[in-house]
Amino acid sequence: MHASPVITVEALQHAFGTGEARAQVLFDLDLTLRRGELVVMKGASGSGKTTLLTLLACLRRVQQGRVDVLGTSVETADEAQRVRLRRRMGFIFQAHNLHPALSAIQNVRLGLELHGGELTQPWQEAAAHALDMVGLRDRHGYLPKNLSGGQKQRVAVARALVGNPDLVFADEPTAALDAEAGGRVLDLFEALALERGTTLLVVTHDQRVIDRASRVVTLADGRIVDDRTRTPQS
Amino acid sequence: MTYLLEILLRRLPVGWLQLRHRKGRLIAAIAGVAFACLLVFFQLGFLGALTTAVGLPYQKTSADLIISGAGTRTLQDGANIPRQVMLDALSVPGIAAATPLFVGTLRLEGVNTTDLALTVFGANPSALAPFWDADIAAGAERLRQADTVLLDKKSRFLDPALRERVENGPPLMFEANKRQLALAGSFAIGAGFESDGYAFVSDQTFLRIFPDRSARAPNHVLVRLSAGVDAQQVLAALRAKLDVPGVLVRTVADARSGEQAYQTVERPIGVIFGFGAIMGIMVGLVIVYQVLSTEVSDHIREYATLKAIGYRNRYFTSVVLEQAVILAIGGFVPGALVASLIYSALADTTGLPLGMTLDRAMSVVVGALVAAILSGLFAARRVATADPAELY
Ligand SMILES: Nc1ncnc2c1ncn2[C@@H]1O[C@H](COP(=O)(O)OP(=O)(O)OP(=O)(O)O)[C@@H](O)[C@H]1O
Ligand SMILES: [Mg+2]
Repeated sequence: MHASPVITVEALQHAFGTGEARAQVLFDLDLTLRRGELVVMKGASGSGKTTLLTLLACLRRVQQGRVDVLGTSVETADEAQRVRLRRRMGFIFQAHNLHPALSAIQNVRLGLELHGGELTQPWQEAAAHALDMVGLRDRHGYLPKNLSGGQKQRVAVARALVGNPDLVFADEPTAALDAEAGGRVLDLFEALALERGTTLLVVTHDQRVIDRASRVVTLADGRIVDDRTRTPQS
Repeated sequence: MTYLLEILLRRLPVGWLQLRHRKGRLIAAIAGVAFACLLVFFQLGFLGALTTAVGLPYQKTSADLIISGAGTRTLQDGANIPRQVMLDALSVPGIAAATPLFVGTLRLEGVNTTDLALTVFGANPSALAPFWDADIAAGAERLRQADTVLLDKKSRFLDPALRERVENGPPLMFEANKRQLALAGSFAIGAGFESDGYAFVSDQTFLRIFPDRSARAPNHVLVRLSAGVDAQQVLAALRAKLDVPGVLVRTVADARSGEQAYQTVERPIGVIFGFGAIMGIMVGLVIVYQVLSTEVSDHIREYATLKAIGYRNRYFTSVVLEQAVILAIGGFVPGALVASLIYSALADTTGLPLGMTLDRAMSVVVGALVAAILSGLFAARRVATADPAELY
């Protein structure tokens, strides 16, 4: 049983710099991600994980090869089309990147408001619910500077998930989290994949995440060297 | 405030939240904009006072036309013109009356704590009623006595005690230009930039105070038209009749706006005030641009994050403009309040017609908004340097 593909990559190459300084970091990559998959990507430092992530997330221009995301050819898409694609994605950055002047709930609301509409009340309620889901029920009004590293990371998770994205990209989302908070975020990831068919691509070396992934892709020197689909061990 | 802006903008007021987050910077920025607004108010206030003050004496006359020496820019500097001009004018159809007007400076010394310099008009007492407002014309009979004067009770620096005596009328003796003069009555015009106020004497008294002036050479000739005639037609006829070099014929309204333009645009005093207003605008522009562009570079990482999750450039522009408008309004309100206070304090001490007007407040607030929005659009261009690819 194979769900429909949401990301298809064919013969993807990527290089930084030009001339003498040119360094190729991705070589001839093929990859298909399907609906409802919780994919972990691992590999040595410098193997190209972040580069691949930013290409799939339409944050970086495709140089060579084909990348198809949610039915749109990214390599030929213009900026407006790429923005439209990104609005269907959730992003969890290595550094949480919360807005320091905005409270937790206001930061989460930013993940909703871009979808337009003029319904500030539902925004507020949805943001509150998303914070409750990551275990921050009593921290809605806190500024980021008054939250711990793990709490900030969870606000970032809530911001990424509040808009019900079709795709979630995360770079080391659980590194700052203790067992309980990390487990809670993983529960959310799993539930999203199973119940909503969200596809999650998580770059991590965290064994807790790897244990619950439906698929583990290993990168080495810009090539996929291992790709195994597994039954998650609950 | 946050809630109000949220309703207005229909989104989180991110610009306001950012500004509020750095209270010190916000207060400094608002103080700066307030200062810039104050500077502009101050300069515009003086230009307005100058314009109003210059117009005051013109408003007291019911003359339609004024004949002056060529090159005359102000009521005070009118070069002498031959009295014959008046007689020539009277022969032009449509002209009902004409009268000479002498202008000099009357120095009141020793009567007041501050010595006063008044612009004094010498006029034929029987011409006061047809050519000047009622409060001036009322003193015509008493002016026929030699060495009597009508004084401006709104003169600047008048001691309260003296002001009261001037208002109450004669008897009051005082010395001016080394002569003993007697008060004959009072009227109201007000202080100007060139003199502390005004005075009226008869033409005879004028010539006694200024012995080097001649009855045959007044400074101006005031002209009244017959009812129902066309001023421009008579003006043309009069110009043709007086076709001699050295004579300038204008309507009183033109003479007034001409002097107002001259005082505010050509004289150093007006130029200084105009330059000050431009300085204020520049100061405001620089402050707002500095603050807004620092705001953008301080938050470039947050903006990159928002770009990554799908916000477009127009969103960031609206955040920067939100901040620009907050700074403009936030600076304008205290600036306008302080300006009103300074206006009334200065009006009290200088006797100049200074005051806050709705017109001026509107132009300053619109100017502040336009300047802030321009700065904001300029600063918003820096958001383009936010690159979401560098975030992971
Ligand atoms: N903007 C850039 N300009 C030039 N080279 C870059 C740039 N970004 C990444 N690289 C290079 O590309 C290679 C792959 O980097 P990438 O960040 O994708 O690795 P990674 O697998 O995410 O490593 P890590 O686990 O340390 O995060 C590295 O050798 C890096 O030096
Ligand atoms: Mg990386």
